[in-house]
Amino acid sequence: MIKKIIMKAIKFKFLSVALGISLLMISSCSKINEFDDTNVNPNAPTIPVPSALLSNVLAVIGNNVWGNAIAQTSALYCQYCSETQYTDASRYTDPNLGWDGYYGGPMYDLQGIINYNTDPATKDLALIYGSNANQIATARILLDYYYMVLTDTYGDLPYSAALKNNPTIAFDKQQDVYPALINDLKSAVAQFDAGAVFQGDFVYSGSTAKWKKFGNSLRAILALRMSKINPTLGKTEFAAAITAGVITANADNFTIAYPGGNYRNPVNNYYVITQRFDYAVSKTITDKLTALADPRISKFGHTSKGFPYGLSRDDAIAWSDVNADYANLLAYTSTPQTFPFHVISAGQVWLARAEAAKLGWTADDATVAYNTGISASMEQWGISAAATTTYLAQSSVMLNGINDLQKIAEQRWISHYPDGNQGWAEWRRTSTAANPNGYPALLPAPGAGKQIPRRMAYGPNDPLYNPTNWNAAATGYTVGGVKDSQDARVWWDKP
Amino acid sequence: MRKFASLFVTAILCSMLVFAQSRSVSGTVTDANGKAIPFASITVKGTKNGVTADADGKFTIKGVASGTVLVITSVGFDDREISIGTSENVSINLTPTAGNNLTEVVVTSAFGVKKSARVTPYSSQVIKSEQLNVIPQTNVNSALAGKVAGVQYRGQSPIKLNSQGFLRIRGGGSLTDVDPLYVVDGTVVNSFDINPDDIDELNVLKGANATAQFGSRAANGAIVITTKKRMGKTGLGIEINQGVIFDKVYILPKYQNLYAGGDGDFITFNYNSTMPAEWQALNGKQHHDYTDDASWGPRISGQEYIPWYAWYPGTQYSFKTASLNPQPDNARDFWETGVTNNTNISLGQSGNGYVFRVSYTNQYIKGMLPNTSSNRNTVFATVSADLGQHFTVGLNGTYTSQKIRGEFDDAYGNQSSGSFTSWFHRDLDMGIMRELKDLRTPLGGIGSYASWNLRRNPNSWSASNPAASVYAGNYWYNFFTYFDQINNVQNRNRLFGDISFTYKLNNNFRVKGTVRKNELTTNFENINPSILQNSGGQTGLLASYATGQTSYQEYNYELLASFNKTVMDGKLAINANGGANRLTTQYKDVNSATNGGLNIPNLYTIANSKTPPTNGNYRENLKSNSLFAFGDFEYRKFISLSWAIRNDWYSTLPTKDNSLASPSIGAAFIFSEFTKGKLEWLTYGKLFGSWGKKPKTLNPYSLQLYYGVNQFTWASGGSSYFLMNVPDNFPDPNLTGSLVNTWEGGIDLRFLKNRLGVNITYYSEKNIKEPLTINQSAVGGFPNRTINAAEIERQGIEVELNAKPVAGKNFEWSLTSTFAYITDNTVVKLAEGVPSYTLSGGAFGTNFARVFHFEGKDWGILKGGGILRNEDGLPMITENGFSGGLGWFAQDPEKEYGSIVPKITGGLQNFLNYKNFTLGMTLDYQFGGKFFSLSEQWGTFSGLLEGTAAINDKGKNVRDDVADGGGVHVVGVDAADGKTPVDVYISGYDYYHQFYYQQIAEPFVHDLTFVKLREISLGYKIPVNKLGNIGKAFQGANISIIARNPWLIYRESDNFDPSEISFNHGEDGQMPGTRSIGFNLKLNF
Repeated sequence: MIKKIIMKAIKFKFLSVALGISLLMISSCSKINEFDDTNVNPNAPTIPVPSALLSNVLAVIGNNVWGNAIAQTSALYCQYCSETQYTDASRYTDPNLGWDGYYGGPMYDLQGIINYNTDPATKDLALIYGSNANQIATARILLDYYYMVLTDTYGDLPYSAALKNNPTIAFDKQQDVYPALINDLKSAVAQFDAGAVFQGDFVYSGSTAKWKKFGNSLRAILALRMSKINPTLGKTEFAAAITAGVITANADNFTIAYPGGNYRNPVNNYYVITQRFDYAVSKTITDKLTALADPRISKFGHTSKGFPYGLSRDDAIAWSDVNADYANLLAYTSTPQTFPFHVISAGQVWLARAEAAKLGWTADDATVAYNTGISASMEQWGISAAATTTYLAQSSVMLNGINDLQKIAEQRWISHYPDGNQGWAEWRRTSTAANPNGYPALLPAPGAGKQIPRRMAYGPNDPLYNPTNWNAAATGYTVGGVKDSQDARVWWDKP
Repeated sequence: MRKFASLFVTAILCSMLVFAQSRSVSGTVTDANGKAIPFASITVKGTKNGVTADADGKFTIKGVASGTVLVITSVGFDDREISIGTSENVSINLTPTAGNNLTEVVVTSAFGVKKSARVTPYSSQVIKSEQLNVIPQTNVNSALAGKVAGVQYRGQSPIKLNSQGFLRIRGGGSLTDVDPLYVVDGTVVNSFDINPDDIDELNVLKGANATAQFGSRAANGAIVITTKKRMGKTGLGIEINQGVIFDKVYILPKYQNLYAGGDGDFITFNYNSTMPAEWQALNGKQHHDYTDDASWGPRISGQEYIPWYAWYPGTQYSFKTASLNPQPDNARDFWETGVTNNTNISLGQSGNGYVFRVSYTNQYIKGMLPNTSSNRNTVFATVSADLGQHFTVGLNGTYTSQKIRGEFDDAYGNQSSGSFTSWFHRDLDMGIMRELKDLRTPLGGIGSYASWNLRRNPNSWSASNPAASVYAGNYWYNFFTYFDQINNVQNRNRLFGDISFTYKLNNNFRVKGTVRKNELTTNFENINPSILQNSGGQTGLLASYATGQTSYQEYNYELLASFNKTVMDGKLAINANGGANRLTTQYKDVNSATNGGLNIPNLYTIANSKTPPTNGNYRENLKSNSLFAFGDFEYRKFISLSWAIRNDWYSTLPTKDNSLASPSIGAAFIFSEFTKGKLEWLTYGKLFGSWGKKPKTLNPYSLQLYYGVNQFTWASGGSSYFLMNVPDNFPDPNLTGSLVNTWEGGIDLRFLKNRLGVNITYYSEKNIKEPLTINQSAVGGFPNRTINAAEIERQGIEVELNAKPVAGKNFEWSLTSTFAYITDNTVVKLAEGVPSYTLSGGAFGTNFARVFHFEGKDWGILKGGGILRNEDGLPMITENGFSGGLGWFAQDPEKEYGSIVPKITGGLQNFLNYKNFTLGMTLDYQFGGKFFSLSEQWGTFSGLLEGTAAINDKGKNVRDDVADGGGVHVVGVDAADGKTPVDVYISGYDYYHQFYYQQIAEPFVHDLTFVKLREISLGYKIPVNKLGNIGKAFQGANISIIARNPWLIYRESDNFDPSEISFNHGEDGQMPGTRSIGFNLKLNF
């Protein structure tokens, strides 16, 4: 009997221990929903560093010269480059390229700088990286550059409502975007103050004077782009930009000096790291350089033998088999990793000024501007002054009243190499009803049965994720019953 | 919350009602072989005092006086009465009722609580080891194909030793496909670490019943596995299982064998004096284009030509021409015979109050890709021991160590199937390719290997740079060289298991505490040798070394109190459980990889990186706390009510609102209790239904915007600048967890003394406001956004049929058939302003097929460029982009092909026994669902596939000149007006290239439909008792001949096995299907 009672007591003891544990867990209910810092991410920061956002943009901006798909395709359209193997893009199949990597990449990094320096809660925190005004102004100018590249490629695009974390927004008309970009550049240039310079700027090391020149140069290029459609506005803005001060010497160039290693020149990266050889220098440009005895030919490709443009695949293979020494871009595999790219350079700006002067838009001396522009470009490519002098003395080159506008246009086309965004836009602008092949005269890929595209069709994502607004814009680019046609022209590209 | 807590307390306090009565008797109910009979009823004769035995057949009954007679009843067994003497322990054997095959089915429900299937209010198909392991299985996923209703097995080619396929339960429930949870003895693991040999039974939980135990991790279903705990009988048992399987390639694309490689006609070689002198022998001879990796070359007719290997010195073939002959089997000849060796030894013993089992399994697979293998060792141990009358301690542990060697890429451009199906020369002799795998080019330095795909044709020889001018492989290596050289090794070591401690007060009340641990460490080393970099022209391969380690630890602390009691004179059985769980997981990894090549060739260290190496590490922590209570009431064994409530608190949810409560309730009604004696043919009939909510939580660190920091700084002017970017994904500031509403109902019928059974279940589920990351237009700055979005519905019917058509003395035939039909799987809504969601696809142009969810349409719509048609359905014909004139199809960019989910899935399993022979067969099928084949597109573009050299309606080859009656007949209407008829012949080359250039996916979109005989096993039970002295050593011996994937009976696509499609959208460069044959020997001692 006693044993039984003890057993019972033991049983109850264990029962109460078990219950106790359960009740303890329940009684700590107030803590059951507390996890301290378990969900604090140890891997990444939640606060941006504006200078690092700027550095990030500057590290990729050179891909717009040559490196990203839009730039590479544009370089095919303006025949800086030829495809050597699979020639579909140079025979004008739809490249199907979107802009998400731009808006969602560097463009929003720039917007992030603006937001962080504008938000009353964070703008003071941003001051250690430079004055709010200098940071914002720098970011705005770069944003305007990106918008320029995209609108010249596609036409209408989200602008006024863009980068505000709203994915379904209307596309702005290019005729509205252009003046808005010019105005934004004006006010951004004016915004720089005497406060601390923006850190993270390895292009101009925070020199507000140089940023202003860059901003004004962009404004001049935008203004000249309107020569066919709105010369009145173009003239006013171009002249004003020059007065405000543009890039005049190579020391002011917007230059991306690649450090090498994991940040290589994109051409070097393409041939050496990616190990593809799909692109070569086009025979169109080597022919032109040869005809002009242009010494830059030795810099544009590793040989002077251009690859015929736009051949069919088997023709391209057959040709390359007996012409193995055709020119790959720049110095090909021995292009230094550190070879710099120039987003905007003095030569390009001077040549734009030469054209504007010739159009009567400014009081510049066209010949002086032209010769200065070519000289600056030669210098940029490492050509000696003596060789430049010889070059300029040729009647095929010098401005002598014969085909001067054509000569300027061709020099501009040469000066932008290998930047297809600019080269293609310039070529389109010089092509008119009277001169459909433009300057230089480009012929479409042989046998492709298609014309050189006048724009790129919108990318694949907008019809899916922003269908209504995409449709409204795409319908505006209908040619021959095909919506969103690459044969449609952007606003400034008047036939 | 307070309500919930009080409910929990009530459940536990119920146990306080238990008072020990006078004398009690404990015992075990078993069959003649000593195997436990679960849930038998034990009553004291002439009284209403009764108890139910537990799942292990154990019981304790009180109020027993000496001389009392106990009546023991159990379904499928004859009733038995025994008289109790003074003993406090009894062992009771029951005899099966003659001709009755109905036995109590035990279902393992949440927290390992075993229940009679009688009370489960949901469909719960239990797969026994014999059904699962018809043949020796390499992984648990493939073992399940066709065996569980409503589970679609999306296999992968067995060539990929690092892949296990995927199980999709009841169609698409979330916006993305999420793996179900794998649980072994209550511990969450990965499908990789489950050893099929140790599985006793497997239960697939599909609805709220899965989350009742495992919380939100099981919201996509759970594969619940119970391991083998004991050997067949009491005492010591040893079992040896030895299987060997040989694998051969089975399903390959249909190739053309009429035209050789290249993209154009023969090239005549012109020797010049700068070239290697030996080449002079080949002067004036012709060869196809080596550089282009298509097969639009010259017609094969036995003519003299220069094969690729003739240009390299040092072989019997050097500088000699050969005859150009068809090689119809070259793509097949590449693949080696795979060998799977599976050895399992297990031993165990059970006795009074203890049971243990130890098992060791080695599975070695020599892969079908050269130089690939997998070696897996698994040690499993389980112990359970009673410490006195009230305590039981249990231990389960599994240690798995696996080493996988090789590269198994099967995406576009991979160096095996990526060539054979997409870019290849049909004339290549694979035997010579294998023979010449060590052939070097005559170059200095560390040299390079020869390739069939020369960088340039020899006419462009340049003495100054022979590697760039001819020798290096243009896009491809010699396939055998590549796989010989590439050196990837991954190791995984997993240790998981639990220790539990049970205090059993009496038969009514017990408390169990369990600690579970699951630890996975992996490491890998990938080497791309320097010589491969040297040997490639445009192969994109740099010499590299990469290595990394991961470590994952998971702990679960579980406390469970269970109460069972029969009240109201045995009429009402009460089962109530309450408990708590705490889960913590911790993940860490470190990895490094070289960049830009290696400074010193052949030195594979991170420090040898040409440019700064990539170094990364990541850490992730998660915790969740849970309280739960569940149980059931069963009245007179014919009607039962089950209930569960669970509340989870997740560290990953916003602190202010991190709790999710998920209730469920269900009922079962055994109506056959009322038809007893009236409907003789109806053995058993049950109606069941249940409703519940399933919680869905967030991934760790989803609540904030985290900026990306680039590890590489940019050096400029003596300073280094660090880079940071705004991430692509924007998390909605109001993110919360969500609950999925689910219910199911059905009927379970068994007829003719259980000779025939059918279970029909209807389910319906609605997933609302799940936290998901969606794609969006990036124009707002963010390409992705995480929001509570979407409303997805799924409904369907599942049928399981069991039959035993023949049950003779010598011959027995039993079968199980499963069938599932998804009646509705609609994405009702995405999110405000989000019209579509991209699920998969996009290689090579986004107008090729991709998979989307569109609002109001079926889950997972395959969409891609189609052929534009007019109102009459005639194709619109536009300009031939190659040679002008009408001839190409106009593209319809809006073409939708339908859902990627097969509406119908199912299987059939047959077992036939004749004397000592057993034949097992598993067949499975699916109907509907779409996939896109990128390989077919490129195989067409490249002139590899049969159709590109077909005979047209004029009897000429489509590659013959149109002027000579060749070409492809194109009929349609002019796209310009949509009505002018077009009837032309265009060259095969132009025709078959259009699909890429026009981005038309349509010809390469197919149905996933198939019927497949997946497993056959013919076994012979060796009559050991007739073997004399040798036989005495054995208790049993079984030998079987087995086959895996022996016959793909039916499919609606030509070139790939539709049961093994690698991606959601289809395949991009897939490995071929395989067929295997082997044997298995099983010995019991």
